[in-house]
Amino acid sequence: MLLRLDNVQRHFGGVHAVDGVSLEVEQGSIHGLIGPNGAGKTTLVNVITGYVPFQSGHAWLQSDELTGLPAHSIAALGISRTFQNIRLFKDLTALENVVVGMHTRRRDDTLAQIATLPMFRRDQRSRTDDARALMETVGLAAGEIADRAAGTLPYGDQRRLEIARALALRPRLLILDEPAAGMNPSEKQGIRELIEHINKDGLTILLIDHDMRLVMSVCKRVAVLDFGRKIAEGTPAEVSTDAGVIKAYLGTGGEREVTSAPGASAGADTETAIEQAPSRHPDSEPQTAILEIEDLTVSYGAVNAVRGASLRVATGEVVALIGANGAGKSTILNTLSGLIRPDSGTAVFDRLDLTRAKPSTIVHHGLVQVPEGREILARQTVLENLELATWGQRDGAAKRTQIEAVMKRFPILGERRALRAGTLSGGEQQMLAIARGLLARPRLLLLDEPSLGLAPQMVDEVFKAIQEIHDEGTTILLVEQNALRALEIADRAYVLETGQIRLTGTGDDLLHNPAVRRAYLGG
Amino acid sequence: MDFFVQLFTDPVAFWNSHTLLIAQIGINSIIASSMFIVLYSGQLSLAAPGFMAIGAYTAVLMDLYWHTPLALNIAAGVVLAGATGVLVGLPVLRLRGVFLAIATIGFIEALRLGVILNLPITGEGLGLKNVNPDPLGGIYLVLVSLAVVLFLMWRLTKGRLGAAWAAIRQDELAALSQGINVARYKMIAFVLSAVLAGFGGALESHLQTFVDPGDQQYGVTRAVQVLSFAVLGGSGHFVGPVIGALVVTSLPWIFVQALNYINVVTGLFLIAVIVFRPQGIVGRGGLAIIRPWWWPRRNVHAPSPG
Amino acid sequence: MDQQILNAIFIGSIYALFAVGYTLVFGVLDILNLAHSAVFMLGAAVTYSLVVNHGQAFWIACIVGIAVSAVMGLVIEYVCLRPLRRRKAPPIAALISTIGLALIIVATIEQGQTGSLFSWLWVDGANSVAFPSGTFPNPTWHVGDLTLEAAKVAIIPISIVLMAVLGYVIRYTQVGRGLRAVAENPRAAKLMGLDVDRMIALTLVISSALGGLAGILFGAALGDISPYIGRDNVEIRGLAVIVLGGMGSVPGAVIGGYLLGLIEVLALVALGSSARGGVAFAALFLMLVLRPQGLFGAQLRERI
Repeated sequence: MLLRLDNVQRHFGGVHAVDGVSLEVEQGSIHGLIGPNGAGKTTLVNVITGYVPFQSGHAWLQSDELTGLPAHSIAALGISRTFQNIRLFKDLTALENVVVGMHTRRRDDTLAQIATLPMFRRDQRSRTDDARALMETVGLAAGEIADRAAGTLPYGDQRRLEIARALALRPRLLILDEPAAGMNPSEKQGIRELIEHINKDGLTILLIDHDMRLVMSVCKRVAVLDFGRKIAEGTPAEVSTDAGVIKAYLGTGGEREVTSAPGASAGADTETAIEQAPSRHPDSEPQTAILEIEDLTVSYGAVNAVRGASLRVATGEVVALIGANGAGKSTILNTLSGLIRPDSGTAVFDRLDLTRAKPSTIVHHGLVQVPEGREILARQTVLENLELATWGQRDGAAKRTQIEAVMKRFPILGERRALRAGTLSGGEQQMLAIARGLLARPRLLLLDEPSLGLAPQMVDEVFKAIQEIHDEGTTILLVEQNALRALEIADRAYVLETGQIRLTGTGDDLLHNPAVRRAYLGG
Repeated sequence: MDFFVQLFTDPVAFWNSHTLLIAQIGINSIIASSMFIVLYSGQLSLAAPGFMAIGAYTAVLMDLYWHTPLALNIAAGVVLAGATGVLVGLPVLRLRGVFLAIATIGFIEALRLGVILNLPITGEGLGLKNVNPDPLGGIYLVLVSLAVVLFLMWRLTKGRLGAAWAAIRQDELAALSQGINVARYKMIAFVLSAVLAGFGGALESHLQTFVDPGDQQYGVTRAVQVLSFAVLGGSGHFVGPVIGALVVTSLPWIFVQALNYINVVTGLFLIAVIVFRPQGIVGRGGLAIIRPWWWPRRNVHAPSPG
Repeated sequence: MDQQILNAIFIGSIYALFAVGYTLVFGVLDILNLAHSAVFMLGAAVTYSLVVNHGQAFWIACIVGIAVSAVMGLVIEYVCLRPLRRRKAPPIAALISTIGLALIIVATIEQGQTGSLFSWLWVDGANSVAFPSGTFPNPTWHVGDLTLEAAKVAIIPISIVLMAVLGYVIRYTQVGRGLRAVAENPRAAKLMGLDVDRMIALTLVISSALGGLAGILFGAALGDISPYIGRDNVEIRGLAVIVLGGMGSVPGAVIGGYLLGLIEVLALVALGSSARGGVAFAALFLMLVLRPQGLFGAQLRERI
């Protein structure tokens, strides 16, 4: 056993981010750690690597105890990692990034530097040669990009560079935190091959991801986390058919016959099925639409988050946008709300050009977003949050009536009106966020992952509320990872994969589409 | 323009008539290097004038009371400045960004107003008379020192230390993941910067007839001036702050007519640079403005201060 | 001694009023507006100049002085801050651009001599001047061994009223809620339909108006107006106050202001007048080291 974790606990306030997790990673293996968003995977990694202190429990790397050590000491012991949100040294060149990774292996050369001994020159040359070799190992064209600033590299190269930097430490254990996030299937395949390649010589790898497909295909053993606890562990086959795991990933709603967790089948055909499907069915889309997006391309730093997406929403519809994490769904919503400007393409909401209008104008025009992660104002009370939502509306009496109405629809908010919004539970906060969205009098309501991180009963409540809102006539564009619930409630849906619309049809159609079922619904 | 005419047509005469300016440029460059180190490691420390004061007063006082040789006086000033750097650094290095800047301002003014202006031995508000000043001869010492300092800066940035500092500046958390003991390296940078500033201050006092505790010399005004060297010149490359010091110190001499509005010009420069070219004149070592066509081009972005 | 305590209260009010503007900007924008002390000075200088060089009535001059300060707030936003926000610059950049603007403002006033380019603004160069007596009513009373000048005394109610009004606005009005929303989460604020740029401009205007007013009060009551009153009196003390009270907290700035006034007086009494200057900075330093978030500020933490 290379890595051993024993009953690790870490909570923040009342939330048990990591609730008694024990784990053993065999030397030379690739061990997977998966779980839905918010399951505690990254917190666990942060605890192991020393960024967040242990509250109880222990961890050992072979005979070295990791508990209580600071991050740099743990790294010096031989654990290196990549980060969920790429933390490269953006202004340093690619080569310099990798050289920094060698820090623990370099002797301190301050004096040698000053004397400029010839020995130093030789050392430096061998160091840069090693760095270039490492870059080649991870599949980067060292000759071309070595002297480019890391922040200017394309997304896929940045991910690989981060791995090269981590390898430069010559670690005993490499922790990869979502190394393939935001990549399309063929890019993911490349990462999969890279992982296998670096494991070949015996490097132990702990792979964290929530993409079942990736983890199942490459790992020898997999541990599954949900709400901070380990709910299953075993070989990929065992884990993907575990009932608890399936439930955690699919969420509740509908008793469906499922035989394995979404994305679990590692066969190559899953990829091609969706890729080959035509990207639009012109007949299934409405003629007149209140929202029209045409060929939208948006980049986020180096990432091409959205590549030529087109979609339409007609008045009164519920349209769902489903896809994996990092597919670009939130980027589209943020572009619609005016928070990001696209590189090209058009987005028009009832004659308003969304690509140019100010965010406040967009809201006043009737396009309101309930953002991912709720983004409520924790320090202000529930009532204040609601009052803010009616900012700019002049009629005081009308505002009060509206607020009362919304509090009637969500009685919890009425009860807790004087409490600080930060004290509400996740589900209650989601209700608050939706209520806030409604108060802005939306003609089109954008919902970004309303079920994220919510317990199953709360998810039911949230979707009930969404249905009610829809029944009252509000047009809704719903972005959801929980494909099942989204497709059940939607009139029409689009499937987004790495920034491109792959499929569209009615909710029912997609619910029964085999490729969609395999990729997002557990078969 | 006569300034440049003389500079290029009669360098010897230029040297003789501008000795003080050149010496001041040299000293400011040393202090700019002190600033370079902290900024290069991602710390916005404005503590330089405080350490300068320590270096200056120590050197002059030793000369005054103990009549010790110059080298010893300066060395003592440097050591004392370094020791103070350790004392000040320990508590403040946990602070980030603005907070560190404020704390260092607190330090320099507490030192100046609280200590220097109140200790009879430092002459209190009247300053300290330097009995052995060497304004003209001292320039050689200054220039030699500058050369040594610049060599040091050059080599440090190439080595493991420099790489660690650059990483820390970019992203402390990522640096930790590569095994870099961030706290220790930040401390090293801070103390080294204190040592350099102490050295610069001691040298400066050697050239002056009296040590002045005023705001312009060791207060916030000086701190802003030193900061402007680094901002203008850029702190991504060791030559940057030196170029900044060169430009800012010479400005009043070049534009004698506009002497009165020097601060306005400096202020405009600061705003313009930080908005349009935050990496400063030198950027990451491209000397972008003064690049000959055959100089190899590197496609890099340079960091802005902080 | 009691006279000193009175002085502490007067000067503490000025510190508090000044610091409130400082902390307001920090709270909403997360940056330190180092041009604030220059606006403090500008308010006083403009008012003085209007009265003495242009023969205006004191009250009119005050209003114009405050207006000029408010406009300067807009200049700070459009010249120093907005261009950096558009370029996604780090907060440190705003520190530098506001330092630059402060340099420009102070230097401009410094160069105001008769016959120079800016003589319409200021003619006394680097000198310190005071309002001639009679400019505004300033009776003096003697109570026990205390000397009370009306102008100094007036500082207290004026400051308190202003800070109370500001507190009320922030806590109970829609505008105040909007500012708090922008301070807490600009993204959420945008999604709720708030025009964040406009809120930020408003913050700068309010903050600078308060700063300019503090300068006018200072200049009038304490009889000292020069290009350096900002730098010498409030620039760094303002920092000490907001650090003590917690950066971003308005009540913190108020309490911090009086606290600093008190600390300085105590130091004066205990250690003599020479220590007064250094005390503020020692307090600043200690607070940052022991409790960086100040008395009322929020905890600062970086997420990974």
